[in-house]
Amino acid sequence: MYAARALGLADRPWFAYATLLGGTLVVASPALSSTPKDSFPLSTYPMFSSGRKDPTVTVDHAVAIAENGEEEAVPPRLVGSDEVLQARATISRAAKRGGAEATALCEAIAERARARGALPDAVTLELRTTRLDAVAWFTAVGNGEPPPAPLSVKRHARCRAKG
Amino acid sequence: MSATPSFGARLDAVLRPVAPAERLAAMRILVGLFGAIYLTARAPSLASVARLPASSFVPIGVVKVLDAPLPSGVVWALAIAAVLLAWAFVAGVAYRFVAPAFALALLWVTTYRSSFGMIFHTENLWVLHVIVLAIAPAADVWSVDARRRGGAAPSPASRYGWPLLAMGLVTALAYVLAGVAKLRSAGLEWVTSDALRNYVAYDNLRKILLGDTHAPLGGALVRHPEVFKPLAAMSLALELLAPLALLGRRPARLVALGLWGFHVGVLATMAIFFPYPLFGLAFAPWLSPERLLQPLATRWSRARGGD
Repeated sequence: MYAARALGLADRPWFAYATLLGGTLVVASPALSSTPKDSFPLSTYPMFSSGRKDPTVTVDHAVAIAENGEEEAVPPRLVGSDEVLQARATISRAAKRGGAEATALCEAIAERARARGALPDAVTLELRTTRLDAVAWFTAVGNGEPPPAPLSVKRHARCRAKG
Repeated sequence: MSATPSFGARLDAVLRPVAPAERLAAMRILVGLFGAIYLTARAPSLASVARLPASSFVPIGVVKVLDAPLPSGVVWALAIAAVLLAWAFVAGVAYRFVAPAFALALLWVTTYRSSFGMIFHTENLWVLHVIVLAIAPAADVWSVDARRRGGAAPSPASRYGWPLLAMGLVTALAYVLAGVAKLRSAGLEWVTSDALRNYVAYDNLRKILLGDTHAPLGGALVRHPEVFKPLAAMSLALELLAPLALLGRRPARLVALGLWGFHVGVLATMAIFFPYPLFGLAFAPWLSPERLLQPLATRWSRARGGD
């Protein structure tokens, strides 16, 4: 019977001590290493920890461009994931490898957009790495001014949005 | 003549505190219910990684056993299995088998999702809590197993206390590690510099560029640098002092409230939703979660004939 066997173990002091001590060491182990490495479910919990000394942000992203030149951010689901950072990682990887892989991702996004009727005004898609001063950006926008121009823009791929 | 308890006996009472079976069962039900709803709602997202290019696959944790992504059908099947096991875990059916199976399925599907270049730190604590519950007698009451077994409800015992302590310890450790990560990465400059302001600006702007929801409040606050240093100091203090919650119910309530407020702040300024702590589940092992469910259990018992 379940109760007799499972509770027998749970009643033993050594089992409780071993679980508490072992569990503590295992959960703390990623941070105890001289080269801490994040993983799952054991983690160094590095969220928000990066000491951002300067306010510049460099983002690999996909942009939809309309005929009149207006630009729109491509939502993560069109990149292949509902999760924004997973989508960003996919774009970053393609941007890093460049060439055919970046173009293939650009075309895959265009195909998804067409299939879902998304980004109807877009004529072109681009994969870019953009560098901006984030504090200057929010300060300008908050003051009702136009956002400052990017510090740099690098295009990795360009493809047609329409079939 | 009363004998003073030995050091060993006192240490044992700290490490294996006596707790009611209902408290551990309440954790099983609440954590399991969270899992069942979360997995049901997120099943498409959990399985959506099958659409990502194989080149995005960077296996971590238990998923390192794989060299390449699984076929889409297998990803979906595992996500569905995790959902079904979660509901059985909540009900406390065949707990001896279901609980470890649920813990393994959950570990797999969450780790698999985090194996595509982005680790979901919103899920670590939940998975670790389920692993503790899977080796604990958390279905001795308020479960299908207990109903089948019949008999009187078990008395409070240390077998129900140490798993709660283990879960509470895991929560406290997670926050301490988050604080240590900040100190390791930036030292006290994380508090004394513009690090947090820059981070909030960076996080919101990248969301705008990536077509995701951002937090307008965070963007607006960037124009007020004076608010960020106190916020950074408070956040770091709350994380490093989280173990105080293990000292008793009163400090536990204060620490839980502080950390909950911290997560509300993260949601308001960066649009990052940590559901497990925001619903209070991360902190529940420090408190008395059975009080939430006791009225329901009493009503259920009366409806079933007062057993």
